[in-house]
Amino acid sequence: MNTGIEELRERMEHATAGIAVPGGLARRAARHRRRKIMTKAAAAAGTVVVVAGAAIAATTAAAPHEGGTIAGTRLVSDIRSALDAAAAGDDVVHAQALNGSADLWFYGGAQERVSRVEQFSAPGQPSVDQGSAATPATFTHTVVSYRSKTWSMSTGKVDLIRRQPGAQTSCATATGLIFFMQDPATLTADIREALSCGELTNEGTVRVDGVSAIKLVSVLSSPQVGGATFVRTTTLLVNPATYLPMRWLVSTTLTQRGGQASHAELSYEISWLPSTRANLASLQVPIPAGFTRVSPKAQS
Amino acid sequence: VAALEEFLARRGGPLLRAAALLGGGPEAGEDLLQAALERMLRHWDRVEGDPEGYLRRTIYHLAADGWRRQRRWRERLPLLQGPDRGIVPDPSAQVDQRDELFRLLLQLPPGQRAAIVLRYWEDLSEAEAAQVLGCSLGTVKSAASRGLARLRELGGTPPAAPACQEGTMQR
Repeated sequence: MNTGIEELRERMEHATAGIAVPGGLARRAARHRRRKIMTKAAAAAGTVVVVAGAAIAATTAAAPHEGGTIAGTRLVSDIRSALDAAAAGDDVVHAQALNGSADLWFYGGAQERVSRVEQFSAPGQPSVDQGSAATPATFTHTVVSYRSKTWSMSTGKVDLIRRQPGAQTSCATATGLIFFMQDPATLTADIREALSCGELTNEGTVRVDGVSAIKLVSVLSSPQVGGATFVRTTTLLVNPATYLPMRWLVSTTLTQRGGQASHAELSYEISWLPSTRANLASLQVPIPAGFTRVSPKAQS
Repeated sequence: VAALEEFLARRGGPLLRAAALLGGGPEAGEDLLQAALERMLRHWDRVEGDPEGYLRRTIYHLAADGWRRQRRWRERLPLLQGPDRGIVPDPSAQVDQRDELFRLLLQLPPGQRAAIVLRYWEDLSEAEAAQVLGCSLGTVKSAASRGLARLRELGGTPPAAPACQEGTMQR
């Protein structure tokens, strides 16, 4: 009796127990295939819309459906397929805050991930630059503080595989999670989940810098202590040619019981880029000459 | 497509479980199976009445593609890391047994992982596994044997006997 092999079989059995084929997988595959054919045809005809650069204020001439509708099955499927293809296709995601306050880069997925978040105190003046690289077993986190002219690096072991994209996401948390920019695979999974849950409504087609976009909106309202109300509205503008998100807008309003309200907004322009050497280099956090290395605690 | 859904409801479970082992988890397995389905729809005329066999072969071949991408990724990783590349494992971090197996399998080269899953999960003979992978019997023997040895090194499952009892490993 080969007990080692038996043990391996048992572990495989245990690891895959409860895994079942979700309904609609074949339909999803068929839709994805149709979409790829359509995209190829559009590309061949030269009609793929190229997302224009970075004009700051989105001049959105909204033409929404009255009150918005739950994002249609076909639309949801097309966006999900596009996100899957982008995540599987080795894309680098670049998200640029439209007010110039942050620049974010993401690459990788379930197995390895790299991200970089650069924050600016004023246009062109970085305040903090942070980078993370994680594999299924380990991570490194680098922080450069331009205020204190210091940098730190922490390393450790991480259970990355446990956070399979979307695996821990529920309908209740999906729209909360998509608030955060993440690596393509996780971002994809969370948007997929929010779409599947019907948490995003289709507000119709809008024009952004002369380019058509599908507007999807999620509104999250929650009561706060003391009678205040917190409302967060997340808007995804999706490129109708590629079905990939091209703009990401989050606005929050905290209204006190007396009616006094405070409002904040974040807007990002999102680009899906090929993983060229130049784009990958943008994920690196440079350590400026003369900066002092300190412990991570000293920077926190 | 409706017939395919019905087929998946009946026979898709084992395929998805194998795909999960090959891909590194349930989500990756689902993606792999979906990709195989897409390919099957594209080449429907080649399926010749055996969708299960076609899907199984496609899953293994696509998984190899995915692994090739990962290799490219690993080649790029040094470009993305910071100036100090020393990694200090944190012994306090824990993973559960289920994810631990996926993690261990993901550390095997593609050929070894495929051979391990085919031989010890699908329970195929070496000849059958070679047919699925489109390689020689010796390659399967070698890959399975090395895969088990590697798992033992990684602290996974210690095999009590060599995987390829009737042959020697080929280089």
